[in-house]
Amino acid sequence: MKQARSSRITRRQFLQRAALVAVPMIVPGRVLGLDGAVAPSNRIVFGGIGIGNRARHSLPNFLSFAEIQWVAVSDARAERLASAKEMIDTHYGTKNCRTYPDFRELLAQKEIDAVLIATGNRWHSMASMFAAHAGKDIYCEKPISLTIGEGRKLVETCRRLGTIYQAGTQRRSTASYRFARDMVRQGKIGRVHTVESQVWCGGTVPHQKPEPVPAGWDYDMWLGPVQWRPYVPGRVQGHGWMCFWDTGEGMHTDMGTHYTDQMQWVLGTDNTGPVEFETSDIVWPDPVKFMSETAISGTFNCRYANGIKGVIYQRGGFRDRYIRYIGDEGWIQVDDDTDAVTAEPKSILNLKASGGASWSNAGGHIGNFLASIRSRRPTDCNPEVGHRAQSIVEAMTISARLGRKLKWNPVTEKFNDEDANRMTWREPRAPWCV
Amino acid sequence: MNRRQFLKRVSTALAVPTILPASALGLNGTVAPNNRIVFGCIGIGNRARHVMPSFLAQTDIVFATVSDCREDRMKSAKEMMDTHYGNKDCRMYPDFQELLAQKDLDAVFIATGDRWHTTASIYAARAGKDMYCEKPISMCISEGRKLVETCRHFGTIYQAGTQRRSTASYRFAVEMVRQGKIGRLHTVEIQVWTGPTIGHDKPAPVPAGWDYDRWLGPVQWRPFVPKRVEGANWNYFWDTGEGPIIGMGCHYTDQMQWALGRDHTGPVEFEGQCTWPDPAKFMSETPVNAEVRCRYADGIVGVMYSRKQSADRYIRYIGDEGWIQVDDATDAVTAHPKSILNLRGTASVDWINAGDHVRNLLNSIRSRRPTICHPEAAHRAQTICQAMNIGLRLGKKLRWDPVKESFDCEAANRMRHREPRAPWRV
Repeated sequence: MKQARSSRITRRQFLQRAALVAVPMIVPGRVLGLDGAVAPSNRIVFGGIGIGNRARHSLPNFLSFAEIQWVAVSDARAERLASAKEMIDTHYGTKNCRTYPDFRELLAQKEIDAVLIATGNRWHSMASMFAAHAGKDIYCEKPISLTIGEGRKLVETCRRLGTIYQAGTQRRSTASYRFARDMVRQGKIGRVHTVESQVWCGGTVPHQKPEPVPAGWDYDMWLGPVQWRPYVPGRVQGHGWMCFWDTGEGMHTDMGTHYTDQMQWVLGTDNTGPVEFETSDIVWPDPVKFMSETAISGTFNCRYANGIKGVIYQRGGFRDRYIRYIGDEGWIQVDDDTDAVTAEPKSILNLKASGGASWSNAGGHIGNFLASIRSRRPTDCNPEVGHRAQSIVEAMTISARLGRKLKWNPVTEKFNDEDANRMTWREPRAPWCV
Repeated sequence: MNRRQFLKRVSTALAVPTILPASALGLNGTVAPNNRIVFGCIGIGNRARHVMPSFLAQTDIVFATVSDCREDRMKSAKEMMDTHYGNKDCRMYPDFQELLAQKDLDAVFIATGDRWHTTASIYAARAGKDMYCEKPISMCISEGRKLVETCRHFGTIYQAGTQRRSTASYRFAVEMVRQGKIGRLHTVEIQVWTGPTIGHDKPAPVPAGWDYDRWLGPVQWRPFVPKRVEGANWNYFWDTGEGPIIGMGCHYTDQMQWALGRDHTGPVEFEGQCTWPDPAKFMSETPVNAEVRCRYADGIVGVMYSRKQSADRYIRYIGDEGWIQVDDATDAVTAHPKSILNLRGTASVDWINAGDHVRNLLNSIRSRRPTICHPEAAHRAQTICQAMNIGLRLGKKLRWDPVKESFDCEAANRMRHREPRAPWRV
């Protein structure tokens, strides 16, 4: 399927696949595409890299598409790998899903067209670049990178190899957010001057002793590009890894990237970004009590060259997250948890016609990805878009860690500060180089 | 020194002053300036101030420049040099690369924190300088190997700061072992002190005059936490140090390798146990107490204990007919049978005095022959300590191939290398 840009499948490949279906004596109608299903030869063949909590969330959305076929999964944890196979086999009623402890073996499978990457954050851009080099198209969960330098490398790699890449900031494909965007763009709140969003408070993890690596974990593969350190359950399990700089970057980065993505989209600044970053009221975990490193709460500000301000508040609880566009004639807000849209003047809401999928449904986002795989046109959240949204939260992180205001040049992608520039890149642990 | 350089120096030294002191011409027994080896110093902290008197006592060298990322240290180093030479000529470079760019420098003394040793050494070698570098010479095995290759490639004269090879007590012990006075050697016992623990501490603003980014160098950025940085504390965090097993242990593994004549190879097996700092109370990461064994292919065993006080450190060679021990703190040599000690002729030179070790370097700089702690020897001694630490961190027994320099364990092999923070690639 790699050669043909328009039809996505060559005659030879079609015949090859057709030969495979020649074996069973009784051919079910759906195999031939007779009952409205997509014929196997025309399905997009998927593999999954990293099948944990997040993947189990979005996998049902993927499986609901008849035009794709899952054939393989990969995970560094044996039990997750086995249960992912079970899930996929149950869906298809077969035993055909293959498992690969090493994702590079999965990527070497020639019949796989695309991959879902839902590893921990530390692996996202590295696995994406390996996938792009293997000629696969990619749906990668957010945040798409851990450093600005890595994100830029991802953009370049996808551009060079013609990879279709969708960043998992699926709110671009949900009705409530689309509505808010349209209202802002149509000037219903006047001239927008501030984009305000809120994510929940970051967790803290108390100090803990190392333990033996649980059976079935390939811990070295789990760490991947991250510096080796002993297995400490609280640093690894659940969402613990989000609270440490080398494996995550805290809530304003992890969740905030959804909102900076929305902000960039609404403002039409997908190929550029703000010019100034400043943080205030950052509360860090007390190192005497906690081993976690990322901020508990704080205010993360940015400013675009035209004066528009973006603010991420990290405060309150999980359910309190929202994004609000404020203009000189009103505001419009999407509450993320309930998907409720509120606005001032209220009359704006009368314009909301469509019901639609909520943020938790990634279906529309996947649909956009599949259409791009066939058309070879950029996805909604193509690498440049994902990288620019991610750069904003990463620049905020750097400003918070250095404790100073930073100026950013979105063209050269450089700060006015040498220390900050050094922090736009981290060396991956060998042999993981990009 | 070639003729052209000689003439250049003579012309700058002689042409300007009208009254020449006799010493400038080498008339009163001192070495003429144009025949002196010109030194620079990179990193002037506690250790450098300890060793510097041994350097300054040498009359055939002159310290012309210093570099440090801490302004206060650099200034006080300049003061020290200027006072010694009775002039104001010592130049200061906050950036050591500028120091290395100075054409008049022949050699450098590197006494930075451990994290910088190899990177600074490799930069110095590339700049054509000879060097004396404090131990431990590297932070990981692959870095050490790179240093060896770089020095070989450039013909660099390099002396590792494991100066016990140049002190009388240790030389005597090694001689006795080699002459078979304790019979057939089967065990080398080493003791370093208990690793300290450091309580958790909050970040603080970087003190004025510190170039903290440069201080960190190849290490991953992290906030300035006073207790991670102050005094010798950086020794007890994996990215800036590796605890007493390496910080002090490399002196003794260096002795062991030397006594056994294994400077180009090493043990084949490592195994040990240790206690770790309780992470609920302490932020330091390196072992507290440890017992690590290594075994050479011919069965000789090296044991390193990390226990007790700093003053209790020693190395003991045990053979089938006796033993000989050097107590490091007192420099006292004890042995069994006691008769061995009667063979001791020379007065002792204490380990604190690095003078002979410096002398050995200076002779090599002139003769271009390898120093007593040349890079390969130092790297092999350092590898032993690093392999011990890797075994402790992974909590398993490791087999090591000293020819290929690789373990039988993939996870351990991955730990031979650490990526430096850009742009400090070597």
